[in-house]
Amino acid sequence: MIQAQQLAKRFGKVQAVQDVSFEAPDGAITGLLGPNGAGKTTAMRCVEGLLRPDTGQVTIDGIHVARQPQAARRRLGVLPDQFGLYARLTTREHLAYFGRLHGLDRRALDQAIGAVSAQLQIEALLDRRVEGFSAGERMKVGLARALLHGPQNLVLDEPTRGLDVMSTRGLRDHLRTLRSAGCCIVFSSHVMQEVEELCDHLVIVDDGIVKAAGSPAELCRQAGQSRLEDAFVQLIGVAA
Amino acid sequence: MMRQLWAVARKEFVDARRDPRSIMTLVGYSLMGPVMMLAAFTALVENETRNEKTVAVQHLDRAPGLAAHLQEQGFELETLDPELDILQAIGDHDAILRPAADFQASLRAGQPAQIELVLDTSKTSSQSMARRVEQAMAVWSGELASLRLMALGVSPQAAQPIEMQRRDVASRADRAALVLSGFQVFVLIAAFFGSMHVCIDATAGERERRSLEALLVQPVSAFSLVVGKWLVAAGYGLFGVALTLTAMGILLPMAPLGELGISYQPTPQSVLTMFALIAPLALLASGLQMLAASYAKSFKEAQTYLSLLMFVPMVPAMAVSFLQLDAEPWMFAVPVLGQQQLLSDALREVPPDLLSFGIATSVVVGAGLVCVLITARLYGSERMLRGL
Repeated sequence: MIQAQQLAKRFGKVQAVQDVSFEAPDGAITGLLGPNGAGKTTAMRCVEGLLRPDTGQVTIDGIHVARQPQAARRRLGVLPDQFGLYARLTTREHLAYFGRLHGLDRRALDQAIGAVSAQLQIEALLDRRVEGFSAGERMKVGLARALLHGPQNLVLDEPTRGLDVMSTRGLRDHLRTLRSAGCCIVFSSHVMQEVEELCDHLVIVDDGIVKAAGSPAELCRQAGQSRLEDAFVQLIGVAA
Repeated sequence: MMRQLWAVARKEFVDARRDPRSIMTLVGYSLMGPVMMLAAFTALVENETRNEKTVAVQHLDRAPGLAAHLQEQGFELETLDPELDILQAIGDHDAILRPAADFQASLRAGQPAQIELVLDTSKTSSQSMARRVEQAMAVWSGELASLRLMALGVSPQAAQPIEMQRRDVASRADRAALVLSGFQVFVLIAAFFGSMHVCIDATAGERERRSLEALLVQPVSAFSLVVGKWLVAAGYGLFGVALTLTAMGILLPMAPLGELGISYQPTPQSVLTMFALIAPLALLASGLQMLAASYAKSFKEAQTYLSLLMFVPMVPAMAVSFLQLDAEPWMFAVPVLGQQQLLSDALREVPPDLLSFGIATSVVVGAGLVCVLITARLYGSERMLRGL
């Protein structure tokens, strides 16, 4: 479970995040929805412990992220924007590297690699170098890396950017499987259809402030609109 | 922590080994110095010892004694057409002698006989040829003077009140050290070049390829990340130094140094000693490069910083030679300069002084660690996310 309370973060003169609170429970997919520059990435980085919020706090499974970043990260898997892979390494080498950083020993590592590659069906990619992989294949390697240490919580930053239809569907299926296994999943996006289809809970962020929160259906009701996109536009207060 | 540090080092090692540019910079720059020195020495010796014997003379008939004398001094003569334009002829000859029309008459009359030496000082070959012709003519002139003095009943020694003799006390090893001082710079630079590409790739390169964020969200300390990367980069630096020294050890004996009055025979032992003296510098070089490259936002920016850093190893060596500084104890405490002094002693076959080595080594290793710690602080700070 990930809880963010009254996060604020300023860079110089820019107040990137002003007041963001949300709670992402286990066994659910929580979407952080907002236009570009709304403060999604800054909020996500506070969750990952890369940025220390000026005020407010984040806890992961009750662990205070700013105070115990290492302990919190052990319970967190991250799929960053653009996946961040090393072109000259094979899939197996990626998984082995990050597994070792999580302190897995040789046997645990072999087991984890076997399990995660079966789960994501990437056995055929294991011993190939990442350069030349398609965007969909890269996404799978990135996701395998995030899931390798069996984290309870998963954070994804605009994971479907650059993916084709089949890969996007594949990712959605994986996330649903993880949800039914009891994982807490948070992802940021600005693609309406995606969040509508996938998220149990939505947090709409704009100008660094949470404008509304609830299930897609609740948000539509709240805004008196039948389509989520219209509800979104109304909730962030932009004249149509 | 050690396991994580080791995991980082292992990954960076594999990653760098597969990057053709890392290997190319390492091997290219390591071999460049030794190969250039071999070529330079060979050319130098060839120039010095090339015995161009043929001297051209125009109007040889005006000075009948000249031909016999020059032949006696080992020259061969080539007679030029009297009509030939001298400015054209000098293009094909290193030096041309032109006795004046009244050369023989002046000689008989006891007047200074005029002879012209045409040379082109813009050509090294012309300079050295003219110098040898001048020497030969001075010998002849001296012989004629002695004959005249004897004819007058005066001892030729009266015209030679002072006799100076040259005695060069520089040992062959000293002379070798002077000639080989260029080699010092190459070895010092190798410590920097070897690790340059790896440092950029592991820091600015990682940022540019967007893999940095994925790495920073792992439960690993910034210290382990930076030290792991540093160890691999330093390894490349050490390999660069070893490669340069080995290439020197193999190539220098091929150079005709004996012809220059220098004896320098590197033994495996002396090469190993030099490696031990210079190796600590690789730790500082890679630390400094990691620090500079970590501040850069892109690969290109890091390359700019690091090419400027390349001047660091050259500055002390140049300062010493331009300012004509003699070795002083404080020099061992200055990074790079200390290593240069140690290397210079080693080339002169002076056994290394343990105290100087200790001081020079602790200074560079300490400075290297400080760079690594500052880099680790940077990796642990929010500044690292700028531009991501």
